[in-house]
Amino acid sequence: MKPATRGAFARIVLAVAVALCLAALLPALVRVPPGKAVGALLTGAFGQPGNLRATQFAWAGTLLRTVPILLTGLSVGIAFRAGLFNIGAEGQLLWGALAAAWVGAVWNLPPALHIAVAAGAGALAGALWAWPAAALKVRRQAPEVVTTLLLTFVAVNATTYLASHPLHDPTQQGPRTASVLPTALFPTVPGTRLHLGLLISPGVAVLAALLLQRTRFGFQLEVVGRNAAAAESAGISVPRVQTRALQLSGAVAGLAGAAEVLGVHRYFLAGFSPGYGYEGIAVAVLGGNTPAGIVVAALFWGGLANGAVEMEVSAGVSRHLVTVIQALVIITVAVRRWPAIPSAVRRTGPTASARPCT
Amino acid sequence: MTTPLLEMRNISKRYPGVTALHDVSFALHPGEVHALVGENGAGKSTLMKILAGAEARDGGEILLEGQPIAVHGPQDAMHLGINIIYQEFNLVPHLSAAENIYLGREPAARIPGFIDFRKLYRDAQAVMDSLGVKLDVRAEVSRLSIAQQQMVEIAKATSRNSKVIAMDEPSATLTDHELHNLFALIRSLRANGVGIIYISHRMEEIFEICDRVTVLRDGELVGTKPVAETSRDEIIRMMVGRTLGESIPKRPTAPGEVLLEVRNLTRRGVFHDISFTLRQGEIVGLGGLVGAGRTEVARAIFGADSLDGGDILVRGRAVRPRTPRDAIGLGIGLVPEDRKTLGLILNMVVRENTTLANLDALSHLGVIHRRREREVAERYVTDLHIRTPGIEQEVRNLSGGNQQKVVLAKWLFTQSSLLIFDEPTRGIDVGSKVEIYELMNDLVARGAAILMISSELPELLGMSDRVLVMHEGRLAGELSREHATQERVMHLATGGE
Repeated sequence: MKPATRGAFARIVLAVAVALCLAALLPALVRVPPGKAVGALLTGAFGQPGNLRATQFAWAGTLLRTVPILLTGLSVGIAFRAGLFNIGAEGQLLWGALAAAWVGAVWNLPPALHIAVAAGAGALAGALWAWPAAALKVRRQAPEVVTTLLLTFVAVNATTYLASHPLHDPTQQGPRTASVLPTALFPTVPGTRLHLGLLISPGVAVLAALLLQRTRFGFQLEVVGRNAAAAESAGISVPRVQTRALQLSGAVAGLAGAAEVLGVHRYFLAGFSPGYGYEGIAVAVLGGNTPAGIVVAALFWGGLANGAVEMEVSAGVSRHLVTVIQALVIITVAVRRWPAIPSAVRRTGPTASARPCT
Repeated sequence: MTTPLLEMRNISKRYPGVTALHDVSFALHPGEVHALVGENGAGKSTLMKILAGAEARDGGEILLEGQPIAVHGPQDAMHLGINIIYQEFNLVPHLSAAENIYLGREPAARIPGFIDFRKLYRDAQAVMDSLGVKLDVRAEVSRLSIAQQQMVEIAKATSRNSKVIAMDEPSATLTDHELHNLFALIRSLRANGVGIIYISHRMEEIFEICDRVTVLRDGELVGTKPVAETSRDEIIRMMVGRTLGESIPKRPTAPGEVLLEVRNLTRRGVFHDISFTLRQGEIVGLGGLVGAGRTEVARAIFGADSLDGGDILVRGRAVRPRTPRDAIGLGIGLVPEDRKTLGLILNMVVRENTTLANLDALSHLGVIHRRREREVAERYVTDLHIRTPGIEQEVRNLSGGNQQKVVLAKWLFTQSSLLIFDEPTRGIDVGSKVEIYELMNDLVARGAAILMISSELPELLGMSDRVLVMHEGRLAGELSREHATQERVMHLATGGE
């Protein structure tokens, strides 16, 4: 690990620890012993030592929740490395989900191929939805923070319309598409709802790590993110790298949507995503924008979301407390400079003796 | 003897792994201009940061007018009348000169919370006038030249009743004329009893304006001498610990075929009708005042800016690079004036900065061959004598001269044969300067051609086979090596016939 990476890692661990300490005080406000609430949260997220059933159940739920946010976290993280804030992963995810649902429901293909084509269609749709933001960025200098966010509102409403009217399944209630054919459904682990996405998402993390560390494109992406002017002077085409980075980011977000539809929901339902795209931003920040960090962060985030239910049931604390905890984590991670104890000690050292004049 | 205005006694500063300053003492008298010199890394900047309160000292004490003082931050230093003018100015570009001068202590109007702008501008103008500087204090700082911005910084310092003003390389970005104005200003400050610490690499200036000179080397005090009792050679000897007989080691060259020819290059409002040739094995200097359009011509040839007219021929073939990428493909490399933002990615390591522009040569199917990349970086570190703990060191930790060598390594690795150096030794210490010159000599000896933009006349005259001079966007003339003198270059640069 490079010293800089180690420092960032230590900072994030510290931030999470501080946030959890603060969070432990919150149940006291509703007159629940903090230990009981946190215990229930952890049991719900990662199980109980000695209780195999409960542990399996907890992990299954946590992993299921981790799959989409690991992908959106990678999506945001890849763009971040190129110096781009793709905060529209949610919109790209929605288009990816709708495209996968349509290809999965309407096309007739052999089983394995159908899965690949439907998932691929999801990734493609996500990449296409990122393209306008990329083009506006490189050709018209429109900040991608603004365009990706606003395009998300377009995506939410456009996909809702499509699922309500042209692509609506007339035999069903609500804004949803026809069910995906069995040939396109992700295989699942028997007895659980865990699906192929459990392999796909860490696979994408490994590919992202290889891309960033070993390839020419990954290196150029990093250089553009750190100093675009110097990259340009070194002959790197900044517009091309930025466009590709945003499209790649969109593709990964689209894949997240596809995985949810093909693995969990089996059709596109407007509003199915509780904001996985936005959670991806939190996960990327928490993971320090490195693929390995994002894997750990997504698991932690998914665990919190999953454990919330158990906390509500057995400790009687509202599951919304977890949203507060998540917000606290983001705030503490955003803190760049913690009071450094060593420097305070140093100040009382030799220089202090030269100070009595004041 | 009178009490010194400022005294720094036995100052020490350690960073993890290095001793930046060891037992350094320094005294400044009222009305004295005291030069502080040393190679990069000698400890000048650290000493100034300690004076300014930007860094804490590990040992020693600071006395102002005989009283020990404690500075825990830049605000403390300013209140005590100590001001430092850094190379990178601390000005807010979109505010006026006057607003910058009184930033943070704007005169209050009668209604609480409002600013008395009339008084602000009147006072600021009075400060400027007292310094003898002709400058409209209502002008927005972003519209002022670098030299004028520096005047604003100095006005800011004097308006605070400074007792001590330290200037870090104030001349680095000034033309000779602007430097003349700066010296006039320094003389008037000196007459008012202000003590001035003058950090510079340029010997001529030290002999012109300074009273005493203190030399640091490797974080230690080498000595302090009255300027009148020393010589250029002695100061250089003190700085480097060795004698640099002739500081510009030009080697004779044999120009070959024409590598670059430009005809009537024009970018409207910036430069017009620029025509010249550049031959293999030749170093052509491009002189002129700051703002004459030299950097802009270089950028246009490098494809970084567009052209409105004219032709570029590389090895006789008409080309029109539209991006740096195109230019690099034609074998052109630019060592930019602003190496920290354009030449390097400071928070990436030596290896990455070296191979940045030519990854194609190191990758197969888009995957970088890590071992070969390391070998390439190691080779350039050895060949160019880049002083770094290793190829995995972030370039921000390297001295200016070694950073410049990394920029050079990048172009050597792209096999560039046509190199444009824009102010190649700006802010680089004497020892590294000579190394850069030697590298330029090696390059042309091996068949490259160099276009060198320089505002330092000894460098321009010493290294160039021919000198082109620009004035207000046009080529004012060309001088052969034999005919080029400082006077002739300045004559052309200032618009003389």
